[in-house]
Amino acid sequence: MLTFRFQLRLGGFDLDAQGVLPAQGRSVIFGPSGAGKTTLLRLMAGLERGAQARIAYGDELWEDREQGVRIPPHRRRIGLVFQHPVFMPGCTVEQALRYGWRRRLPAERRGAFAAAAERFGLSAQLQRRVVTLSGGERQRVALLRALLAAPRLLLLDEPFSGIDTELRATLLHALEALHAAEALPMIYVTHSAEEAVRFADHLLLLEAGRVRALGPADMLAADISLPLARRPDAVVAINTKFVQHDANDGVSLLAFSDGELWVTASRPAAPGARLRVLVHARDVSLARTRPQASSILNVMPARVVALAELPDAAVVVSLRIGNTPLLARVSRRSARELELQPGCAVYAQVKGVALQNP
Amino acid sequence: MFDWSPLVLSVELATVTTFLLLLTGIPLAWWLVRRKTVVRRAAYALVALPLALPPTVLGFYLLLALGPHGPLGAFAVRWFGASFAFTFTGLVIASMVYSLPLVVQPLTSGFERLDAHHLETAALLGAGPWDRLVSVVLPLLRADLLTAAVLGFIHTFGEFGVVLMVGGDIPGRTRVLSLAIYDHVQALEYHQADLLSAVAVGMSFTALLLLYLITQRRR
Repeated sequence: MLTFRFQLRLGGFDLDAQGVLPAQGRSVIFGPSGAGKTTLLRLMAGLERGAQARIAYGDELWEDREQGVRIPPHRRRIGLVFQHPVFMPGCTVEQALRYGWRRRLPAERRGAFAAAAERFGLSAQLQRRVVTLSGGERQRVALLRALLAAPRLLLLDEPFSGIDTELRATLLHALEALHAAEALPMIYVTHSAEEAVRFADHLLLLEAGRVRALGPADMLAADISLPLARRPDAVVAINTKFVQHDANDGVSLLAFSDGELWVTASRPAAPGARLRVLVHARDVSLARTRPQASSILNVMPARVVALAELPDAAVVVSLRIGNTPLLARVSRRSARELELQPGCAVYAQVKGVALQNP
Repeated sequence: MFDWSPLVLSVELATVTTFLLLLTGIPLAWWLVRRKTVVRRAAYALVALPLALPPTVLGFYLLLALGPHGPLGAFAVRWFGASFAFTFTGLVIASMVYSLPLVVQPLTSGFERLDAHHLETAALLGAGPWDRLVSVVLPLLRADLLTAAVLGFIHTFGEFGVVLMVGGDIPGRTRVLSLAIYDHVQALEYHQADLLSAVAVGMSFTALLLLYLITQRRR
């Protein structure tokens, strides 16, 4: 459990944030630019001074202004990957990676140095100078450098924002695999809604230096009273398990707690693999009766929980399939003609090709 | 046989002074730039003061401070049985004050240019304050350290007014190069003055040339 309360005034900016984040899983701090996301992260790491701060990690008190307690950053065992990581001029990949590694006792280290470099695809690059690497490679070095210092909590400040979309997906994937393998709690800062929903188990929504909402990501993402669900690119994530693959049609069947989803996939996943499927609100359509002979692969009975008018003649509908939240974005006219009301039963339809199999 | 002892003494004095100034100047410069309080701005002005004062004024007050009735001198009398006035130790202390701004100035500008992200990254990778000084600050400030050392050395090497006031021009003990040259000229020994002066020019030029060659290449 990471319990914090920060009050900080920096010029015209004023941050007053408190909350509790679980000490496991992946938490995401999401908010528009200028909301104070980076500052919040830096406060957690102990890099900002002059704040009214209280933060405790588990039963360890890191900082309490009133009690005069302040554990300096180098003794908190936190990893932090900056948006633009810095390296000592002229240093090689190996020197960069070994900096934190050397400063840990062998008992604190996780795994072997060579194996870690291998897993990150950096074995062949160890003797290269960091300045000669591409942005994506440099970010990988920064990430591995942080991990080799054996942190107990990893903070990531928009680590992949300067990197093109395709590579970014690969890096996020590596991060997810890493999280699964090491059970290292992570706090990830982003201003990309899709990245937030995709990555988060827990979500902290920050607006103008205040915590707007904090809770399980699937609930917050589908909560239409919050800005996330009202965006044109609103999206929810559904945690699924791979069931089977149909090679002829190139589709996979995934099961979640309240139903099943067909998604297009070129290859079968590993048996029993856990996959997080993103469902965009704009890809979900609604019907009052079960449609017959449709091209849409997924038709699921759902219940309308709430709906809200949006400025652009659209309506966002919050749904539940059993207990699984889902969002649909429909036109105002459709909402009127279907007479959508909270509590009414509908069929949610999602095209198989619309689902990304991450 | 020509007397080279003033040259040797000057080199000794400049070396010891520079070494001690780097030891004290690094933490002092670090402290000066870390937060901009009124106290630190005043301290900044105090550090720069020797640049503005005539060396004789500085030397006069240093002589009073180092003499048997001054605070430093009284301390020396109690512990060593003699004051620092007219001694090599006295010269070192006086030279440190005199050359302090030339050593601290490049260091503070180096510290100000230092990207805090380097220090934060090192801290989060487990490096404590001293570790960061050695593994991050000093390597990043190599050029500034070199500048500080060279400027401190040649400034001390070339001083006149302060060493005259504090050292008293005692042959073999406090008669440094600049004083010896002056004495030779007073005695109309132009050849000797010329020899020592040529060495001074050569040494200072070489030091500056090396400094610029090394620092310019890195930029």
